[in-house]
Amino acid sequence: MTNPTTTYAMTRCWARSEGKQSLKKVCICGNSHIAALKFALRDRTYVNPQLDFQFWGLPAKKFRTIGYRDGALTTSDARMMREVTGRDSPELELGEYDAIVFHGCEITLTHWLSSIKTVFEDLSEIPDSFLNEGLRSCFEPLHVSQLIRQVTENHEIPVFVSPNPFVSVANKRFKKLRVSVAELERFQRGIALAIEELNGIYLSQPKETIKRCCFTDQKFSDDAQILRGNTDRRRRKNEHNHMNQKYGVSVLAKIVRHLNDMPSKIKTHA
Amino acid sequence: MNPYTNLSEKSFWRSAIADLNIFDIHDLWDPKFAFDRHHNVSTFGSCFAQHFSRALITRGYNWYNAEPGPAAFSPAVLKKYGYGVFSARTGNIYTVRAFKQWLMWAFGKKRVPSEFWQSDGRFFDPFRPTIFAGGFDSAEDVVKHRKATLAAVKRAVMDSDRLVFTLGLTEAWENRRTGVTYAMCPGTVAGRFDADLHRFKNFTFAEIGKDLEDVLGMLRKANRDLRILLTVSPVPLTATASSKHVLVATTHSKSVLRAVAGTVVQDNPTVDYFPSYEIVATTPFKGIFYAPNARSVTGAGVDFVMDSFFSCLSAKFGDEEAEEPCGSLSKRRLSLENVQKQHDESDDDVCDDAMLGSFGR
Repeated sequence: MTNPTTTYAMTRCWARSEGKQSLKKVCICGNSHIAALKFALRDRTYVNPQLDFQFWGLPAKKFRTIGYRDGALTTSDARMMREVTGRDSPELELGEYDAIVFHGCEITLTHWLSSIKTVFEDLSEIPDSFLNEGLRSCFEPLHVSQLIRQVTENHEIPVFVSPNPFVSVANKRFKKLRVSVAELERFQRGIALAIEELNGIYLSQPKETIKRCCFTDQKFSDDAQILRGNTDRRRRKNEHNHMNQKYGVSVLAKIVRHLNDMPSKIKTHA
Repeated sequence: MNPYTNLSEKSFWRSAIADLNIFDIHDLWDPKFAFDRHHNVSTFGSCFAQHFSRALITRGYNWYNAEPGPAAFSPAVLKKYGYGVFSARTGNIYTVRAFKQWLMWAFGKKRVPSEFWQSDGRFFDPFRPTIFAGGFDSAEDVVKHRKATLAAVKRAVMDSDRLVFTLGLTEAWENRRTGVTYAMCPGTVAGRFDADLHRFKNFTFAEIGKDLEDVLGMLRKANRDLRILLTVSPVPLTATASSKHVLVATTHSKSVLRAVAGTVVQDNPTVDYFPSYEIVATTPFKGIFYAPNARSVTGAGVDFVMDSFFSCLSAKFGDEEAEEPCGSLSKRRLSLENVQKQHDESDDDVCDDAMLGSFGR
């Protein structure tokens, strides 16, 4: 459903770099949720010698201080960014990258889904127009929405968007949430549409990590690590929002699959 | 000595109106009961009722929303789909008969009709045809959503401390066979007009009075502690099907509604009337609160009405934020010039009947 012209342009860019023998560079930008991916790579739980991943992220509300200017992602908190990414520069030139992934970034699907299900027992009761407009209205005010728009307007690289994970099954707050496969599909379509309107590409949470349609399997949540610093500070046991390296591996693998699929996608559009 | 000797200033036209700057006209309303910030206040009625809900929220009062939409969605999207406009998603309720209908369905006194309208493959609720932009996917969805709203209407009545109802119109369209009253004429927003099935109705003083007594009876039975505030919308008719000139039809309509409201509240301690109609539409205020189309109420007009409402309450029942004598705004004096400059219509309103204007030449 992505705009064919945009996909073609992005894929030509990716295909050009496919021809090169050098490493392909992927920027992963986000909030505390990038920890799962970062530590999976650091600890070599996930390895891909063809890709060079660079992180650009800040936890919690600090994420909203990440900006875009003159072709680069910026930060007003260089000190914390150095802690997270190891980079000294307060800027990350996107011209050097072959793709960018916005991961986490306050795209809190559990909360949005729960707020809809609180009102409607069955999502089939509401027309697509209401659901899709509503989800767009959830997405638009987010800081990441502005970043996606700025990057897609100024760069021809694929811009992937991967949400916060669903909370884990052991959480208490949303334990009564019940969603069917059909409902989840409609919901995910609505999210995808909102992102595609900004010329982004939606990467839904990997299926193998999902339990009971709308939760993350607990095994992906235990021992989640905290983003800041390079030490192995673990989140507390009853924290069900952040995921561990196993989750990071699944997401990274999905990113790579989509990147590898891009030349075949262009064949479909042509 | 005679009965007029000791009357207050407000009883005489010269001292209450002629000798005063229009913004110093005060004491228009002597409230029968208070509106406290902890009270649940429900609002229903014509477009003008929306101003009450907005003003209540802005001033930190507890406007009761018995049918909230998904909290994550933006207010703009929710409003487009009928949420957060009235205390339940009834849409505009222009006539007392329509409000009586909603209550009878909500409290199980009458069977909910299964009627729906269809246009271009979409399905619409005849009793609130604009409630879901673009209509519903199926007739079943119309029924399901109506059921949810009826439950919300019941909740609003039973859980509220105060209920504000704005009377809008005397004119309506009915189904000859079933007797139901529609929100809009079939064929205008959706559905198909059938002259054999649908008829014009201009409710009389007696009919509206009876309907209002029935409404009040149902409200009282459901919630003995509920206090009801009536207002009459100062917004003229967009169009009339009465064959009279629209100005004449408007005057008739508003006069009847005003007379009914006045009659019903007399000697009834649980029902009161707030003079928003008088403030906007009568000669002392010289029409300054109307936009150039002589129909829409300007933002300044809405503010003036609501300021009057709250200042009268404060003057009678006391409030730490009380400023002025009831109704007057000398501290925040609006000059005639400033008010006339503020021609912005209160275009945030969701007004179904306004679209009737598109059928004119």
